[in-house]
Amino acid sequence: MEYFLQQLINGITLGSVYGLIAIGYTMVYGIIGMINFAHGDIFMVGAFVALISFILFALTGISLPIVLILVLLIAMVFTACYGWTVEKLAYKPLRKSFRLAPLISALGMSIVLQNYVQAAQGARIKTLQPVIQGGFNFFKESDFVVTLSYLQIFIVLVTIVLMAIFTLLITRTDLGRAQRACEQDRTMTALMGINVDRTISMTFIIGSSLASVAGVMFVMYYGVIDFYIGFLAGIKAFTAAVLGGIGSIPGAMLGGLLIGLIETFWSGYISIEYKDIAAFTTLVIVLIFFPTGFLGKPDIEKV
Amino acid sequence: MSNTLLDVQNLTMKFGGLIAIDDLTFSAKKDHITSIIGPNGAGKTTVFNCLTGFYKATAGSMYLNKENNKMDLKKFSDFKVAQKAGVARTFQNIRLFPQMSVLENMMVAQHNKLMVASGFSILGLINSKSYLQKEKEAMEISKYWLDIIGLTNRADDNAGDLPYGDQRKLEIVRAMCIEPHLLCLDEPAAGLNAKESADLNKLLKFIKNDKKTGILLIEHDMSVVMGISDHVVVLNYGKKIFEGTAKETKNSPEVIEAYLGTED
Repeated sequence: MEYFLQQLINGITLGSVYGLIAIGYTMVYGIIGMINFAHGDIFMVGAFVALISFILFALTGISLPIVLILVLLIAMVFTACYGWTVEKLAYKPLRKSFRLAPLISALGMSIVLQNYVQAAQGARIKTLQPVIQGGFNFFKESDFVVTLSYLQIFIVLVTIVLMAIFTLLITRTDLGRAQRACEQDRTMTALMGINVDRTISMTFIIGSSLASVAGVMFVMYYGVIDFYIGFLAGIKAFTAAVLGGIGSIPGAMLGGLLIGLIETFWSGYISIEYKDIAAFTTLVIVLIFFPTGFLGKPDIEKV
Repeated sequence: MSNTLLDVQNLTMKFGGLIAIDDLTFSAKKDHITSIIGPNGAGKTTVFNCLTGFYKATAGSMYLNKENNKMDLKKFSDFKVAQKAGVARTFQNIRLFPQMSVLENMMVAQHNKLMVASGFSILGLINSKSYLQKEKEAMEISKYWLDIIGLTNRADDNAGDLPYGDQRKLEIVRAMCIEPHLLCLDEPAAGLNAKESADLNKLLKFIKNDKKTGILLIEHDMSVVMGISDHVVVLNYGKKIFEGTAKETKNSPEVIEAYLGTED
């Protein structure tokens, strides 16, 4: 029971990170119908920006809450610039091309980002000293002590707040309305006088900033990053987006949580060495049995 | 003529060797419903596609008189057609946003002014007063139009769930939310029954008379064309074969020939 509880806590934390990345996949798929395979690497860039900012701020001696806010903001702004640039360079020129072209371009962009970071930051792993320490301990008298660290609380809280803001943005504001309109009919949206290119750019900016927050949390939680983390995390978040139903935003949040839980429970009860298999087995099973995911809309063609 | 809204001169559109529009000249007035008719494949929709920037015309000119400001429609494409030139259009098939509510469909069409008012959505997130005011106004405009087509009580339903005839009407009033100077309607009566066609006539007349919006209409349903057109342009094989009032058109031998063939 105590062990189960601990896995649950860890799973929700990990699920938050995946959920934030998955939103970027699902939004981009929704609006331009492509899988942005460079999104995982955008997350990696976010983690690196966070690491560098943390180290720089450590020299200044500013108090921790301010540092956290500043790092989050810096990571979001920088990473959003990367996301925006990737879209302008690699996807926009191909928008009227055949469907596979932007997908190939995305794979290329992913390799470019990885190698760029490798060249700029070196290939060795980078470590960060724990930023937030301590936590609550439960069941102290039993033989397994359940720990809920402050960091985990921070991660889950930030995720909840961001997802709430993001949901409001999509459902209540005119930017969100324009995005949903683009998802359904881009030509018609343009004929309503809406700048579709700008709406798509905004989608990339929002998706990238959410991924960068996931990057900040990742570097704080694990304390170790390298230029290659974007690949695995990206594919797992993609699995999460497919599991929830690609194109569906609540689905991405749900899928992220589920993938986080599946992976942690698998590591906790079956085998930690084979933890990556859990996520990918899920991907295969979902694609075979529920191709539209939990909350996705099936493509029904009216005849 | 001072109240000429749209002035098309020598418009030509070629696709390789195919001449879809051949030296077409016509004009549409502000307070008129101008119909473009002709057999299938006559090039009617191609005219619309040139006007709304989907195609780049091979030759000729298209000018829109917008409050005595002559605008070259050739210079506008994509979202600028609606935003800058003030031309709205519908398609032969219904192109609503089916997964969005009826009201949201109307609000999307008012995006540009809301986007400015909301400071690109940032003020919208924190519900600033000026934004709420603008949103309320947009809501009022939507309700006004929904009242006219009798869909107020379905405002929160998905647009895709409406009956066909209501979707057609919603498309037209959604286009009106852009506050266009010229409204281009591509076969709005297609698939409507007699009563729905009559409703459509009423709606289009209202738009012409009360909103002072010029309407360019492509239509096959002659009860609609003859009932409401002030001016009719007849195309066949991309060429204008006749131009005149509805009554003149009905009796024109060229038009009868194009539609029914020649008597041997």
